[in-house]
Amino acid sequence: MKANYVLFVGGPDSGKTNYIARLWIAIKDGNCRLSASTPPDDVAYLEQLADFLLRGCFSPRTQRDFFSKPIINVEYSYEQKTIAGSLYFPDCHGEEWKKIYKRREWSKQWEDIIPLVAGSLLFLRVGSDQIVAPLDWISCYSAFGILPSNLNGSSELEGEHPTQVLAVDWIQSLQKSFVDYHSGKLRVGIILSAWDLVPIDQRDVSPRIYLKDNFPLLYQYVISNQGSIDFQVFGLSIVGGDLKEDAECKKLFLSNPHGSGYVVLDNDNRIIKYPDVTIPIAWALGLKE
Amino acid sequence: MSSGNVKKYKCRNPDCTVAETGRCLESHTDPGACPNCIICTDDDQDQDAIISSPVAGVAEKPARRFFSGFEIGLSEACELMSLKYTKLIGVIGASGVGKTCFLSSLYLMMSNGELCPDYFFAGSMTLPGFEDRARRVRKWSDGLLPGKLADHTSLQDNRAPAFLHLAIYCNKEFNKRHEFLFSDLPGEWTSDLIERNEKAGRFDFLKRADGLIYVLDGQALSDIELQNLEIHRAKLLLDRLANAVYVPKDIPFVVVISKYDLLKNCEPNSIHDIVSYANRLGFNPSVSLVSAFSSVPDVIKSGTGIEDVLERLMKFKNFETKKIVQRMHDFCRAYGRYLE
Repeated sequence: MKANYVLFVGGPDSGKTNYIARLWIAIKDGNCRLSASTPPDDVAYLEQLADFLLRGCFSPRTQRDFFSKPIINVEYSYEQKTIAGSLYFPDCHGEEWKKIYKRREWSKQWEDIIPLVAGSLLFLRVGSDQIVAPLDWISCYSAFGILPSNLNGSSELEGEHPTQVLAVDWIQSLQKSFVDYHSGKLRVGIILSAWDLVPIDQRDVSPRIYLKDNFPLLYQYVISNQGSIDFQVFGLSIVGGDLKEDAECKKLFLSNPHGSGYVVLDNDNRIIKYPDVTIPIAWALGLKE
Repeated sequence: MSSGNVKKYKCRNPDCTVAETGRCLESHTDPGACPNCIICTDDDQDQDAIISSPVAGVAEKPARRFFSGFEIGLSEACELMSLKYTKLIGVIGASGVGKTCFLSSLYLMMSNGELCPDYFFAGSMTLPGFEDRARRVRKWSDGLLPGKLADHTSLQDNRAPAFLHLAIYCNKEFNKRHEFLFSDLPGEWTSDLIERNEKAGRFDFLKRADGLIYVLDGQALSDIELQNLEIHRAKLLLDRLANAVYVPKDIPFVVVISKYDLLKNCEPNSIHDIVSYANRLGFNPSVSLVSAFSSVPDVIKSGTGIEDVLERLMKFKNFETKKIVQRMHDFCRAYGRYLE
C-alpha cells in the first residue's frame, strides 16, 4: 500500500482549520502546485470553511469527529512524474495531542494510520495565546525556593506543559511508530501559521530562526535529528494579514482571494517566499526542489 | 473497630495499581478525585460489578504504548540500551543536597537553548518527567515517587531506581550524539547506604555505570559546625562505593559542590580532604562548583557549573568503545535476569 497521507496535527488555535479552508480554495482555483485528483465525495465541511473565508472571516473552532476520512485527494507533477496523496486532518482541538502526551499511548485508530503516512504537518500559530511558553529560571527558582531563609521552601508550579515539549514528544512518538512500518525517512513540516503576525523586529528572520528564538527545544531537536527525520520549517500566511484587525487586508483579500497568502521557507540559507500556499503539502508528499 | 468503615480504592482501569499501592495511575494526589476511582469499603459486595464498567475516557485498549515518560525503570533502561549506545550516569547524594535541582537545571538549560551551540537537545523519552521535576510536581517522598506508572515500567520493586533519559548532540565532538540515562534516586538511599552495608544491593546498577555524579551540599561543607560531619559521611559513602557497591574506578567521577551561589565565591576547603580520600580508594574525581538555581543571578548565573559537569562526563577518554558496550551488555543481562 502506498504511503501518501499527510497528517495534520497541532493544538487548539494553531491554524489548521483556516489552512484547510485556504487550501481548498487554492486547489479549486487550480493556480497552484497541487490539484484535486478526484473531486471529494463530501465537500460540505470544506465548503463550510470556504464560506467563512471567502466572506473575509476566519473559521470558528470546528466540532468535527476526531478521525474523519481523508477528504481531499491531491496530486502534483514533478519531473514528469505525478505524485498523488490524501490529506488527512484530524481536527482534534489539541486534547488528543495532550492525551497522547499524558497517557503515553495511542489508540488503534492512530496506529492504523501510520502505515499510510508519508509526512506530517505540525502547526504552531504565531502569537497564539494557546501556546504555553517554556519554563523559565524565575518560575523554577520560585518552585525550588533555595533562598537562605527558605532552604526547604518549595511550591509546585501549576499549569500545562510547554507547547514545544508536547511538539517534541509528539514527533518522537510518531517517529517511533513510523519506523516500524517504513524504511524511508519521516517528513515533518513545522508550519508557523499567521506568519504575517511575526513582530516587526523579527520580520527579516527566517522561519528556522524564529523557531530557534521561540521554541528552542523543538529547534534543537530539529537540528539534531536531521539524519533520521526530514524537517522543513515553513512560515505561512493564508491571506497575508489579519482579516479581523486589518480592514485594508480584508479589502485586498476580498478583491482577490486567490492572489493572497504566501509561504516562506529557508532554502540554502536564503529566505524564499512563494505565493503558493500548497507548497507544504507538496513537500510532505516528497517534493524535493 | 469495624473494618467496613475503612476507605479503600479500586479502579476501573485494569492498569492502575491504586488498590495495591494507593497511588493513582493518573497521578491524582487524592486517588478518590480520579474519575476512574471507586471508593469502597470491605462491606461493599458488588465491587467487581462496578469495576467492570467502562473506564472514563478510554474507548478501547491502546494499540501502542510509549516509554512511560515520567521516568524509566530497569526494563525500559535495558530496552533503550539494547537499541542505542547509552551511557548510564549515577547521581547520588543525601536528601536536600540538590540532585533534582541539578537534573532540573540541566533540563532547563537544554529547554531554553542555553547550552547551544556546543550542545543541542536531541531527544528524551522522559520529557514529562523532566517537566514535572522542574515544577517540583514529581519528587521523592519517603523513598517513593508519586503515581509511578508500574504498568509501563514493569518494576517489580517500586523502590528500584528510576532513570531520566536525555540525548545530547555535541557539536564539539564532530556532531556526536550521546544518549544518557541519569539515575533519579531518593536521598534516603544514599543515607541508608552510608549506615548499612546491606543496602548496597540497591546500587547494583552502578557496577555498570559509565559515570558518577556525587552531589555534596556546598553550604554544609562551608559551615564550621557541619563540615566535619559532612566529610565523615562522604568518606563512609566512598568506602561503600568502592568496597560494597564496587563502582568501577575508571569511569568519570564528578563531585558536584551544590549551592555555589551561597558560598560567597569560595570553594570549600573541606572538599580537598574528600577528594584525597577518594584518590586513596582508587577513584579519580574532579570537582565542579554548581549553582543550579541561583539566589543571586546577577552575580552567579543559574545553571553555573552544569556545562562543566556535562563536559567531564563526556570525557570518556579512558574508555574503549568495547568496554562501554560490554558494560551495557552486562547491565542488560544482569537486570534482564532480575526482572524475569
